[in-house]
Amino acid sequence: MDIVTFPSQPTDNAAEPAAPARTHRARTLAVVLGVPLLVAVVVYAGFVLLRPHAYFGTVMQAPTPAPSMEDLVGIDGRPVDLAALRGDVVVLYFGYTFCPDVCPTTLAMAARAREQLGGDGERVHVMMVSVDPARDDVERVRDYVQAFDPSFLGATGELADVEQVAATYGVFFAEGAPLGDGYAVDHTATLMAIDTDGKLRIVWSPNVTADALADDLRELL
Amino acid sequence: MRRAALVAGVVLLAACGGEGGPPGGMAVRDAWVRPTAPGVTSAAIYVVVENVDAPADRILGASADRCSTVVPHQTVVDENDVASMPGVLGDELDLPPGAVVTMEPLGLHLMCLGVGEPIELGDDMELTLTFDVHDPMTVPVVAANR
Repeated sequence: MDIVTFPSQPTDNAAEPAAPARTHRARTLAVVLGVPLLVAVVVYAGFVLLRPHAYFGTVMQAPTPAPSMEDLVGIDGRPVDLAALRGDVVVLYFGYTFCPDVCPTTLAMAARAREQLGGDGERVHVMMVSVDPARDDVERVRDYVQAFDPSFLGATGELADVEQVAATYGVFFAEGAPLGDGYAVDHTATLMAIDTDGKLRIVWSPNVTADALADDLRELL
Repeated sequence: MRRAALVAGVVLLAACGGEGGPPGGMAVRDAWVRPTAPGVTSAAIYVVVENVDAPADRILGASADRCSTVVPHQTVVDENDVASMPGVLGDELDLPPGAVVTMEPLGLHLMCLGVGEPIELGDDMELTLTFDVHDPMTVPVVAANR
């Protein structure tokens, strides 16, 4: 079968010589603009991927071993053994069970962060140390923390021991305003991370979000 | 000065026989309560109250089923991250026209005291807010972990 070719128009012929020049210019332009753009994208991606994680929490410049808590009683009824958790990350919070706003908000947020970590979350141990040992016995602390996450740990003890441990962690607490039939406890409401080497590494303000906490914890694991 | 103006306004309204604002003038929304752990007898209720176009007003108090008492409360976190609960300090509950009072975690909240059975995730309760001027308003409260 013959291929039918349309008669070419003189006007088209006149335009033809210009076409390769235009293609050439376009190619030059693509190279001139495209190559540096590609290089910029690769360099930027490299920086983004390789730059150190920007922690939301405050990172200790010279992390020191987390002070012992062996004088406190854990929710298993035994002295708190931080060394047994070495290799995992411990998220510490000093709070109390009669605390109606800041403690449940923070513990619920920590539970969500741990959930976001999926299987890695099993290597994160959230522990609340009671700053209200007069009212918080072991059972009460256990029921309280486990309501947020069955994996959560807790500790309480004699007031003098709690005071001593709180002081070594830079945590303040004191009886505050009346609350119902009882009282509120004013307390340092930060979260603190003990890293896999057993060192106090990061401090988070209570306004940290679950997303930010999970990102920081992922980096610590 | 501001309080005096408010009192004057309230007196004026009362004198005019105004009982409660115009319908829809006050909006109460997004009410939720945090579930309680076993043995815990208090819970924080969070809610947003907006004076859309009602006369100047103020939240006076609240009540809810499941709570023996409900008191407006406030958490304050200072620059050293020390949390305390000094209660309501000043004009936090005032609602001049157009104002929004947002009760949220780590700030203003309604303290539900005397919780009997633990409040569980998904439970419903009812919250009634009382105002200086406006008629009391009742809204549903859902138990959530936010």
